Amino acid sequence: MSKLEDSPNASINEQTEGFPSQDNDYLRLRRLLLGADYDSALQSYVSKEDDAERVASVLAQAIRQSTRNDPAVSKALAPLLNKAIHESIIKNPSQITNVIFPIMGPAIRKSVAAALREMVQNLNRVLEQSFSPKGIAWRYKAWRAGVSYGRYVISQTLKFRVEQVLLVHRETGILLHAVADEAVHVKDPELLSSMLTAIQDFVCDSFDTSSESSLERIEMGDFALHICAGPAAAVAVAVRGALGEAELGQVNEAIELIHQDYYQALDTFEGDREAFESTEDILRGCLVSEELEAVTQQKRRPWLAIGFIFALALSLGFISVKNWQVQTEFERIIELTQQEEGYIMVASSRDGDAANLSLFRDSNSISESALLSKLSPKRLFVNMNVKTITFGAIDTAKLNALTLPAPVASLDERTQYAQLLSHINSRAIYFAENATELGSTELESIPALVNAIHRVKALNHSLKLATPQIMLLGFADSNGSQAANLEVSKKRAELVKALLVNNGIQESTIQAWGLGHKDGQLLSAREKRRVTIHVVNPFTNSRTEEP
Amino acid sequence: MLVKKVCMVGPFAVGKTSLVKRFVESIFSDKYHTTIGVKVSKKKVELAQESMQMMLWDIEGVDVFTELKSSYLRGASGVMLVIDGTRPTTIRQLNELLSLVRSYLQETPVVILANKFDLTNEWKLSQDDATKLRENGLTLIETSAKTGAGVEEAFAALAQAMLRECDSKTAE
Repeated sequence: MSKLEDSPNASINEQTEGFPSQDNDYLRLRRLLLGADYDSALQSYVSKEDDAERVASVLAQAIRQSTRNDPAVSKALAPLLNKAIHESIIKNPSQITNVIFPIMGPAIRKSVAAALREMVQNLNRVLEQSFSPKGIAWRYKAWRAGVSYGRYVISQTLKFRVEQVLLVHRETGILLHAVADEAVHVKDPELLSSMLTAIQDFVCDSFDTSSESSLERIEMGDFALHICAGPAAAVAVAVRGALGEAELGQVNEAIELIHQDYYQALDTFEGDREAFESTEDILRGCLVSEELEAVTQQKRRPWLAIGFIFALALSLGFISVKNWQVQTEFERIIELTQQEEGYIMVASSRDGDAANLSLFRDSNSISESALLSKLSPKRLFVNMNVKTITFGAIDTAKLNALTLPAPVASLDERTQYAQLLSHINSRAIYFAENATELGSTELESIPALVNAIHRVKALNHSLKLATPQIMLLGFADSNGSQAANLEVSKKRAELVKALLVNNGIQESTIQAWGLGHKDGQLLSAREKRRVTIHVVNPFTNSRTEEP
Repeated sequence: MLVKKVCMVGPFAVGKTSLVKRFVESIFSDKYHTTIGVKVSKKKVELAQESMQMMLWDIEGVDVFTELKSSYLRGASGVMLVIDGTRPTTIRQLNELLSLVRSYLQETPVVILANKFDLTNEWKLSQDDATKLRENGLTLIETSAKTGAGVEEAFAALAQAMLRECDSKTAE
């Protein structure tokens, strides 16, 4: 018994340390009446764990009930949820990507479709207003009324349009935030806000009204300024047309909401407007407009716009098809000309419906008029610039007699050019019997040749002349059949072309031509197995001597 | 950037409007002075700590026929009190105007601008008067609308004073 008594007393003594003696008596009495388990039961009742359990069991129901009765719960939870979502995205971005992926596609499609629909509607409106009898009549009336056409159209098509919304600090007149319709040119809203406050003060002073009361509306013609004032701030909306009651109510709600959400920022405002940037959405909600014929406009099909788009598409289609046909014919003519025996194409270009070809022609090949009839152009006018030459030892020397045009080049440049050409044209690359590959000595001479070609090209470029063409003529000795000689001479020319291309000469500027056996008895068999190199300027920019 | 309302007051024809014309942005014409008695313009002042935009309420001049419209002073964070240093009457009006401003704006920083400082031969504001004002804790700056002397300094001084006032309010 004594043990039983001692134990609670000891515990009581521990608990009552530091309390006044009256409280100690109370605690002792409570312990005697309620027993030793009371404290632990009380602790357990109020412990956090039990609290969590109790709240968890009713949380969902409590939130549902609160949200139904009072939107304040949603508002209170919103920042918490925003923060939680933000943290979650930072921690695991792929999770949110996976969640929103199925939503994004349809949303983007819907948005694009809506934007296109709006664009067509706007286009239709512009066309109607520009070209329709109504549009022309409006232009005339706007001119007579002395107002801009845009203003007149707005007055005829819009019931009202809120052009600008200002949130103004009432005491100082300082603009807290402003939004405006993108289509409207607005003056400095900060100055407007202060001046508006000055006008309000002027009215209060002049007519002895209370400074607590506020101007509610200023009207001028079809323009009105509606001011919805709260205790600390006011929202001023600039409206073209007559603002409806519902929209005015919306503005009133906006100022109430701003006072509710920003009461502290308004109360302690010392000139820092950063806190009010987030009022953007609320103010944008007031930027509304209503069309006079909104309902009928929606039901009507935008035939004018559809017709315009259709005509535009048809025209573009026609132009594209015609261009494609001309280009195809141009490519066919190039191909046929290149395939024609005895012709070398030095340059080709297309200028609209005209094809310009610069050609070398072997004197033994068909005439240029015969070639033209063979090409039979239907949509293109073919402009041929042909130089006729007879390939052989003597004629290639004539081919090499190229000079720079005197009007664009100085004497020094022409001398330098002639030396370079002489260096290139005097070179021939020789092959072994029946060989279409080069020996090492010949291969070693290629870089010097490439260097000389580059210098010629650089000179042409500095004189703003067309890029020179490199013509490679392959030859064979008299052994073998004519066809075999032609084949081997082509392979030799192609090999030199490949070597030049590998060393940085642009492929499109090189023409390789196999001529087979063309030489007489003056050359040795080795000298006949060669490829000669000729620099040729396109005829349009150079003065080549007639061979 | 902080935005502050600043009122510019002073006797009639001391050169208030001319004083700031070259230094401020405005979209309104001077006719507002004769209609509603005030014209608002704005002025950006760059301080070492931060930028400040002043919404400058240029209030029409005060004389025997025209009272200062007190409602225009409401909410002002700073006052520029302009006098004509060549006209003794405007110098005498200074204390009266200062008291009037103080009755509405007890703690608001005030900078006194003694204008027309370029007219040195006609200058009437004595060194004693200037020293007395400065000894009373007021900021006095000699300015000239003609040469622009002292104007930027006056704006900077007022901006600094308003910033100090703002900081002390925040600290409270």
